Amino acid sequence: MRLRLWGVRGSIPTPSSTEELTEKIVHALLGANGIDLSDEEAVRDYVQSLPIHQRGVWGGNTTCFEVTTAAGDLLIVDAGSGLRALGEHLLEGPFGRGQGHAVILFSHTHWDHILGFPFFKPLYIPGNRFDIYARHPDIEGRLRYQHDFRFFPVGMEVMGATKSYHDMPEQITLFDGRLKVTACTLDHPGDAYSFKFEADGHTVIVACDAEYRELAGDYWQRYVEFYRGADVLVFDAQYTLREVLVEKQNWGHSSAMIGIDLATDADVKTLVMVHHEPSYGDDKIRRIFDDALRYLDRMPSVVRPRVVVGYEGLSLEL
Amino acid sequence: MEVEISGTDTVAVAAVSGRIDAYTAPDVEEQLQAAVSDGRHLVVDLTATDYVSSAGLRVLLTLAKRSARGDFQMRLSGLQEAVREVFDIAGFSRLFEVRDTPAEALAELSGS
Ligand SMILES: [Zn+2]
Ligand SMILES: [Zn+2]
Repeated sequence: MRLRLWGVRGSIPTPSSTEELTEKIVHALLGANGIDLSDEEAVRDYVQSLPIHQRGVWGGNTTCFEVTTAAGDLLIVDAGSGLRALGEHLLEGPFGRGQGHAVILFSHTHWDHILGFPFFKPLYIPGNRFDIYARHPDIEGRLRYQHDFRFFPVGMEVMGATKSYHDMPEQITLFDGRLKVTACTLDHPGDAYSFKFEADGHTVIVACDAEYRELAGDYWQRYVEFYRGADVLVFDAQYTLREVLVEKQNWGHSSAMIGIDLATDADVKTLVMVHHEPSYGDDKIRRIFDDALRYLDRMPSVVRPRVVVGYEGLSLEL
Repeated sequence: MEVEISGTDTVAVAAVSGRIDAYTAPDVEEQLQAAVSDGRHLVVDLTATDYVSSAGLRVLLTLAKRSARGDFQMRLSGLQEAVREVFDIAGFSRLFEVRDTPAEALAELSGS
């Protein structure tokens, strides 16, 4: 199984500002001491050696994840703005010829999780087939709503691919039994759902968007059991712990520290932080996660999860 | 984890030993809430607390919010270096009145 991240930003697409990019260039040049700047290869090697958020970005596109099985089955979680780039990528394969098939699964239908849908080119190519699942009622109606002529120039009938809509049960097996998907309700305004994907002997869980109102007791244990033993847990870490518990209570999101506690209690192997706060620059996101790593270091547990900041293009092979 | 309550007629000193995490936090919360139920002020002595997780921070925050409403006064004391760092990481240090020792906190609240 492979997980690839196409959109990791929370709430609204967030392009980098000129000021932020200027700072990155300045810092990169200041750190280039000893590099022969007239030697292109040396410069490229140096730039490649910089951390992702200094030579590039964590990413400004909203939620979209690609899950593929070893047999090549394709499942897409959420249609945030990251879906557009995934669409371009897929056009190079069977989807470009109208021979593709994918499942699209929605955690919930807040704008940041659906706004890429109208820009997903494979949907406009006849012959492609999409099975669209959601736990929320009337997913077709919800998607159709954003194609209303007042908000988008073309209606959904212009999309030539075959679309089938399904109510997602609590558990389902897809692709002739090769992928098992289990849903778990998350605490989020209007509800969201976490999905556990099991295939090829591995488990990947996506848990967006979610607030954890209790950090102990039965409430906590329910999530610990659902996340238990996952190889990868993709986690909504939009806010700092202080924001979650003080300034932004009931806003529906969580923090890296809570993710670390949950992942540790649940013996998760790799914790991937996503749904980054739009008003935070890349450096601040890095600092928040460095703090989270210090917190992890302070833990008395012997077995700790590997903690990763999710970024566009991150691919995890299991 | 253990909570030992001592103090005076007007101030409860709650000495918490061990870890305050997802598994001990409900018990700690219950005992700290009980300690202030008779209207006494509260000193939480963390001298023997070697670890506080997000669940532990939440318990202390819940009490601090009650304290901010004027129900009682509250001080934390005796934070070990590792615990102090968790408070700092979470941005919680400024949400609490922290004293070096429980004796110092007790003396301060006894005068109020
Ligand atoms: Zn979202
Ligand atoms: Zn949402």
